[in-house]
Amino acid sequence: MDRHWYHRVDERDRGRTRLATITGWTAAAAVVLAAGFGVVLAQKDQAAAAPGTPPVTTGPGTGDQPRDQLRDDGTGPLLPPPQQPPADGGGRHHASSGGS
Amino acid sequence: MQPARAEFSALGTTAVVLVTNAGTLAAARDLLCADLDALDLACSRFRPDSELCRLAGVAGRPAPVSPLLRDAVVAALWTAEATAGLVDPTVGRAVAALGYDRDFAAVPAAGPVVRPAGPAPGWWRVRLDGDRLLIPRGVRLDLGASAKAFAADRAAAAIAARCGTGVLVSLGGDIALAGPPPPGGWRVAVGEDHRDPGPDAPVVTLTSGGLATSSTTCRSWIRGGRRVHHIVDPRTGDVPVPAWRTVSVAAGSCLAANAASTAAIVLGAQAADWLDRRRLPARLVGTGGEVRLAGAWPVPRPVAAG
Repeated sequence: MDRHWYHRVDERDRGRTRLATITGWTAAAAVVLAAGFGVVLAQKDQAAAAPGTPPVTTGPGTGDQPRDQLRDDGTGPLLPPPQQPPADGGGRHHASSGGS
Repeated sequence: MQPARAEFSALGTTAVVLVTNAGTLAAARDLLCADLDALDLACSRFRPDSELCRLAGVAGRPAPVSPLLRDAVVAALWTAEATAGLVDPTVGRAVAALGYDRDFAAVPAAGPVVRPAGPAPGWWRVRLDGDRLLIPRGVRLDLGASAKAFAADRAAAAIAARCGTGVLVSLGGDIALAGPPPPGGWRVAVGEDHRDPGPDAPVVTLTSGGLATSSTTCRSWIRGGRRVHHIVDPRTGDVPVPAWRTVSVAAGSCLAANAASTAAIVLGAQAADWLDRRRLPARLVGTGGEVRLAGAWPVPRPVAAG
């Protein structure tokens, strides 16, 4: 018998076993990481859809915004018309405004 | 010479266009009609083929949107910011939970008790970066509170620019003006139903900007014996505590007027002071029919209906 030949086979088997072990642990770690990431994503989605009090920053549609309905200094962007509408003196009207 | 007038149905309501130059009426009508068709296809929450509905499939991820939908979302977010969240486009789920989940004509007039969806997620969670829109998962947009006013402003400006005429566009009573007004200004009757303001409706004269009316009387239905309507308080996801049934506001644009009139319905008892502080001319009709004027709204003189 060629002892060297057996030795090479033993070495190869041990190498395969080590590789399988490493692969197994790596796969298990990946599964754990993916599950954790999924939980984080789900929580993020839930938080995104849940009501709450946002921090104060700036810019419409570009970030979190204040939601304080009592912030009311009357200097907002809702501007009055350039001329106050006078009451009409009579006659037919052109159009009408009302609920729809 | 009287302005020329055209009228047709669109967006579930009445569209009216008046032009000071009668020769431009056909072109103005065509422009408005095409604009509203495009808006419906972009923004409807009832059409499965609308761009907004198709975006539901990519919720939670930024998605490219058309310039029209982008502008409509910008208008909705502007409205929300300008009203400090009293008018919020993320009430889509809340409005649907109250029963307004299809074209209004198909909403049953009466039905069983409904459970409000709770506070709106919040408009600040909607992100717009250039032409990419991110609607967080779980958020349903309803652009209905601002889309008509946005469309009226947009169409009026386009008609004035392309047809070279003074123009009044009314979409369900939300009115936008552009170009030179007729002599004496645009005379607008203000009532509780835009289709029939009534013989005693006050008439005001406008020369620019816009005028909008929000009302709980027209688009309402019964659920579990309770009258609910299309104006939702984002803070609760339910109809607001009743204080005013109709609010009309004049402002620098139809979008601003509509934002203020809708916010006033939501705000309730504090609304008149809120409008006064902004110097917005407004007419508020209480749930019992009492009228309160705010922000230099003129004392009206009744005239014959036109």
